[in-house]
Amino acid sequence: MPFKNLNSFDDSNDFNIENIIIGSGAGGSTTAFELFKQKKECIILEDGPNVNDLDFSNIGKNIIKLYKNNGATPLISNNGGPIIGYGQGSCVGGSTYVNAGYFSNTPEWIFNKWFKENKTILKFDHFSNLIDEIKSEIKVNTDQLTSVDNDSKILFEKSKKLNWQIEKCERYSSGIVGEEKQNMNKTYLSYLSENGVNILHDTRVLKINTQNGEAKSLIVENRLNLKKYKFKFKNLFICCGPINTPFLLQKNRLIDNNENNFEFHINFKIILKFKKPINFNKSFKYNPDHPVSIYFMREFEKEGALLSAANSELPYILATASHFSDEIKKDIIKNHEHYGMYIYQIKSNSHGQIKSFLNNPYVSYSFDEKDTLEIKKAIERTSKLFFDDDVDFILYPVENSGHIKSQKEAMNLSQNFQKKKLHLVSVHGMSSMRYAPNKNSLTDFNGKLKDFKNIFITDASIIPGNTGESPQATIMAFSKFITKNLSNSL
Amino acid sequence: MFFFKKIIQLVYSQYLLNLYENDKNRVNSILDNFFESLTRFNISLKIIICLFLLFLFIVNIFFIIIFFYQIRLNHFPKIIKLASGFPYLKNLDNFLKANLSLHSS
Ligand SMILES: Cc1cc2nc3c(=O)[nH]c(=O)nc-3n(C[C@H](O)[C@H](O)[C@H](O)COP(=O)(O)OP(=O)(O)OC[C@H]3O[C@@H](n4cnc5c(N)ncnc54)[C@H](O)[C@@H]3O)c2cc1C
Repeated sequence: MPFKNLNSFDDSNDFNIENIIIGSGAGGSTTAFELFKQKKECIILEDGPNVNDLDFSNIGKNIIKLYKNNGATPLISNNGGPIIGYGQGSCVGGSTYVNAGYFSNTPEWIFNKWFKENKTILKFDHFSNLIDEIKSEIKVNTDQLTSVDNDSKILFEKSKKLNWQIEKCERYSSGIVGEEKQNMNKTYLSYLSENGVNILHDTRVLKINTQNGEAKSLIVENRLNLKKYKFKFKNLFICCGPINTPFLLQKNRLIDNNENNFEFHINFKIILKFKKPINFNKSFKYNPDHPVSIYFMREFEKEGALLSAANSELPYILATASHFSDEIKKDIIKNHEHYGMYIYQIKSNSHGQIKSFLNNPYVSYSFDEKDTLEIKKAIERTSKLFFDDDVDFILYPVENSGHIKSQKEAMNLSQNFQKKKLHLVSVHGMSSMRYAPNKNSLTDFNGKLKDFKNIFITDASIIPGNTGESPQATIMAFSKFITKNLSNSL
Repeated sequence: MFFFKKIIQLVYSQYLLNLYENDKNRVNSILDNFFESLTRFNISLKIIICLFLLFLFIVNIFFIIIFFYQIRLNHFPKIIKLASGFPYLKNLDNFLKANLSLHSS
């Protein structure tokens, strides 16, 4: 059954629905799925477009259409750190549509730390049961190496050579080549839509009207014709992602200020030139379903560091290399099949706060010096892993660093880079509105917004801290936990 | 927006022609694809990019006057190099170059 938009309801400007969910990503879809199981009436309002209507022939055009703020939500440092480009999806399925689909759960030691610090009441055993429940509802598999996954194969062989721990990635995947990824669109949202739940795309929530500590109605815009609608409800679930949820609440003056609780992972992307051709991915098409990395190198996972292969299509490699000289970029175009790209993911120690500029959100963060140390380690470890007879040079995401041709040059770079000159990105944000065991906490253990009896947050914003692992499964588990807890009181 | 499309062409077509070995069709298609996306950018990003392009355009006019004896109308490569000395301008140039790369087909 196709997803709808507000044009399908032309005769009415007013809606009255028991439970409204804003945002159709990992948190919103899971909340709706749980409410549906409890036989509660609900609807999902999604700002972004329906993906079925898109032409996938150009990567750039699709990123602009499917990402929030056209793929460019900045994390701006207030203490001399680099600007970090943050990517978040904005379409039916939210970030689960555009993401790589890796399935990981938060390790027990991190979870126990959250519990000890009184940031959650959910115990690890219960959390594990919720993860098992998700696995029973959505297919999770490892994917097979194909001819375009040579970068993954190389990662595997080099890790084995150093005796570093490497494992196949689990993904939300059917395991069937060509139709692998199991995002929210293919799973919960299809099921809901087939069972009569309305999922409205191109539908942006502008305003939340409240009275005496209770949210009463929403003003919503049909993005296709800018017509405004009013939605009344009993309960409101806000699942706009870790930046847009606090942004929407600030815009509506429902929270004054958010604490410095936004946490994230840093993607430190490196480009390698190999002496022999290794990259046979000739595609210029946007395909978020295809597996990106088959393995995760997990030798340093306890420190929050993971290494995986990255997108190997030429446009992605060139875009990552944009700050290098024209000579390097010309060589990448000419010898694309010699180039591979890898992501060293860092559990950042930096924290940020959501702010607004010209009615668009950005994050102001303070760069933690511990991250400089983590980046130093990233350079040293990747050089140790990759430099061998088969590698010509490595391009590190440091401005003006040029080709790094040996481990010695990499060591030198690791001692001498300036943090301002780093080119970093992030796609995992969380915790911006997490429960805090003090009077400033914006939410309680059930995601209920302080001072409002019927507004609940069930997305990445309420994760108790930095997961250090791909966060989608944890977000879904928390969303289930809260929605199940609320079932009797809604 | 037509004015800004022209500036993008003036500023970045030489850069792209250099990268793609003078393949004019490819460069035109990248510029067209990118321009289509630019019209969809949110308002704050559009304002920032248009201000940056306008800045490049005005400096170019100054350069035409100052270096009139060179009889050149396009000083953009020189201007971009100078602008790269200023972190935020460099970030914008990088953002545009990265985006142009993503729009290749
Ligand atoms: C490129 C990329 C790769 C990633 N890879 C992985 C991975 O492999 N594994 C993993 O676990 N995680 C991954 N993630 C992260 C993961 O996808 C997110 O953490 C998760 O989807 C966040 O869930 P959410 O519900 O908080 O927000 P989202 O999934 O981002 O959903 C929020 C939705 O709310 C909508 N919205 C916002 N404002 C409004 C409004 N005013 N009105 C209506 N709707 C609104 C947005 O359009 C969006 O669709 C990746 C993310 C990206 C961007």
